[in-house]
Amino acid sequence: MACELKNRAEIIDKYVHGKLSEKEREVFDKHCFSCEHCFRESVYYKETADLIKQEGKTLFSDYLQETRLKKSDKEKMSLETFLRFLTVKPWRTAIAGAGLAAVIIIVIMTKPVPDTSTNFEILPYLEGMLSDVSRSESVDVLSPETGEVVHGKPVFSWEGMQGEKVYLIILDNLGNERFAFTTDDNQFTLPKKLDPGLYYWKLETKDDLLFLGKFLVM
Amino acid sequence: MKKNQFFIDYIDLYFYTVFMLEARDKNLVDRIRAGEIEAETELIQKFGPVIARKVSFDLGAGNSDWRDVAADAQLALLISLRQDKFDVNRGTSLGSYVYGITVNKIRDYYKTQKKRPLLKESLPECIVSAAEAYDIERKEIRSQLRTLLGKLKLKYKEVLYLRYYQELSVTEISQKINLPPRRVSERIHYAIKLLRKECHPKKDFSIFLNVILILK
Repeated sequence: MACELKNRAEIIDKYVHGKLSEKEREVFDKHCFSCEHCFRESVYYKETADLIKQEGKTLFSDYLQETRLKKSDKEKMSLETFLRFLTVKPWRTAIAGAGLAAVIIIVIMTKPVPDTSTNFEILPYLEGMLSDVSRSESVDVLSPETGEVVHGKPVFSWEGMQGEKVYLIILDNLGNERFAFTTDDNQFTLPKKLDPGLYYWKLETKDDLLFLGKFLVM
Repeated sequence: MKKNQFFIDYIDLYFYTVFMLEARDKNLVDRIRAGEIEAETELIQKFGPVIARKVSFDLGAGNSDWRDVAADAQLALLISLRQDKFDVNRGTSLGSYVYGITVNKIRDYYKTQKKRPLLKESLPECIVSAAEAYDIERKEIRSQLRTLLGKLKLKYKEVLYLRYYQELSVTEISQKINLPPRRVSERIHYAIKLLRKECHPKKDFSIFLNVILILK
């Protein structure tokens, strides 16, 4: 019998997926009881759908293999295509190189420079103490001299207090303690560089302040 | 004019076919009323698979009760026809009548939530064997489909895999494989058409049913 149902394939596809409304499903079900053709079609759709759902990975192993290969090829190709694009014509490499250099320069130039001017402001109460303790008789400071400009890692050295334990303390220009070390030597190199600014440093024993000095890091 | 003539011919043919089918159904019902056993087998051959499909689909693939519910529906159908409850002149086709009985039996099953114990001895042989025949036919179709699916071109495998394994919508597949939705839809249906065309079960439900009945 000729079936008058329009869009049969779409309807059956939706039927198999349970996407028909209750009314549509009822109409189609009822139709299948009178239409051998639509019933047969729906059986094939259902069996195909169920079979693929259950055994899809095995049945389509070649397709899945192909998809995996394509994916890895695509990733490889994108790098290869880019390199080929550059190397086919030398001027492209030159332009790409120049472009990259320009980007680096722009990034460097536009990088905001931190405002370090406040790092050089003096701290009045320590400045007042400088004149009192910087001329200690117990130690004779060799470096850095008061107000010396230091480049790189500062080296602290002094004479006197040989073999005695002293505390070396470094303060920033706000009076915050930045480093504190204990040594019985008379020389000490700070293991790291300091940010540009004004620093104060102290040599102390357990009970006394031996020396207070300052230096600048540029 | 030619077009109009075509439609007239088509409508004539359609109504003629409907008329013929109705006449055949009427004849079948009359023979059942008259107590003809072959007519009952013929009825089950005709509606057994569609009843089985409807029941198994509605109850779910994992529910083994579908066989009993389908048998119950087929028995109810036979009894109803034997007792002359189907009136051909009321304008309802036999297909719609069978559908109504099947749906009622599914509803009954859900209402009670337990299968009514069926006395298999009281069932006609054709009904007892119908579920078995339906299972065998499905297995036959599946076995052929399994081979045919493996032979499909990759482009068809792709859409079928995405649609039926990953259960993506046509729109999602269209975006994934960069093809218009209409083409995706066509490709899916064409793939199934190819399978349908190549799938030739050596025997169908009617033959399986007859074989089982003969062997019994």
